[in-house]
Amino acid sequence: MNIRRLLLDVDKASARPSLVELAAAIDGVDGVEAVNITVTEIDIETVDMDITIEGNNLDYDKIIEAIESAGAVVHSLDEIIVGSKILERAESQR
Amino acid sequence: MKYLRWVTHRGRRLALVMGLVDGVLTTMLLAAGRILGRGMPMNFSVALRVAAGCFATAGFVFYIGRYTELRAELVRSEAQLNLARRGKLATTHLGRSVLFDAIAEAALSGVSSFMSALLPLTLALFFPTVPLFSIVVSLLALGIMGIVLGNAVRGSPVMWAINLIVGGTLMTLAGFWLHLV
Repeated sequence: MNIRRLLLDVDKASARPSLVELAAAIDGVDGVEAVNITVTEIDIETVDMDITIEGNNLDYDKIIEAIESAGAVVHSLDEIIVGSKILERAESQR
Repeated sequence: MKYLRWVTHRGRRLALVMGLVDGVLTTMLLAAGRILGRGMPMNFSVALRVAAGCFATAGFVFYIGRYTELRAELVRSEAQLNLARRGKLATTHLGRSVLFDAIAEAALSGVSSFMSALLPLTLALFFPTVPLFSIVVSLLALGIMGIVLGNAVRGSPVMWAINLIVGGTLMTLAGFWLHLV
């Protein structure tokens, strides 16, 4: 199965790790070609982020391990795109 | 330049200030008696040993305090992130990161303490016939540190300077009375 894109809901403490450290940790995983980290909510002690990762043959377990070992927490997998091309979500006609 | 930026970074101000103030105050407490002419005059060996003592105590005390604070921060973050397993964050890169930060800042505090301890000690070494000179210059140095700190924290520079000078004077009196080295 060729995972092309992942959208993860991730939380981290405000102080550490920095977004740059987190991005570097994800970028270090084989197959990752691009990473987008967008902060969606800032609390007093935590930061909530959407992390979009694109690449070829992404290794889901290794990506989760990289994020957790950097000191952040994965809450949920919100989108996954698999296959030989990236297929965007189709809007329902209903 | 890179190291200077690292040392003067806002996050390391506590280590730097604690080291600088601790060096002068501990030296006053340990060596004021000898500096002010009680017993043998100051010599190079005693000066170096007192400064080394300041390095060790400032560095170790700062390390324990800072590492405890950073680990507690990780524990608090675990609770905020709803992590089920206790101590989970300490096993990640964050655990190593806070350990290295605590060691680096402790080294900075120790070296600052060592350097500031050398101020009264070297003055006493080079001007043994004017013992008060070393004390007055050290108290002035504390006053200058107070002014810088007062400005840095947007407080009253005069009050900060007075507080540090009073602290230094009390340590000098205690050191003269105790006559430790």
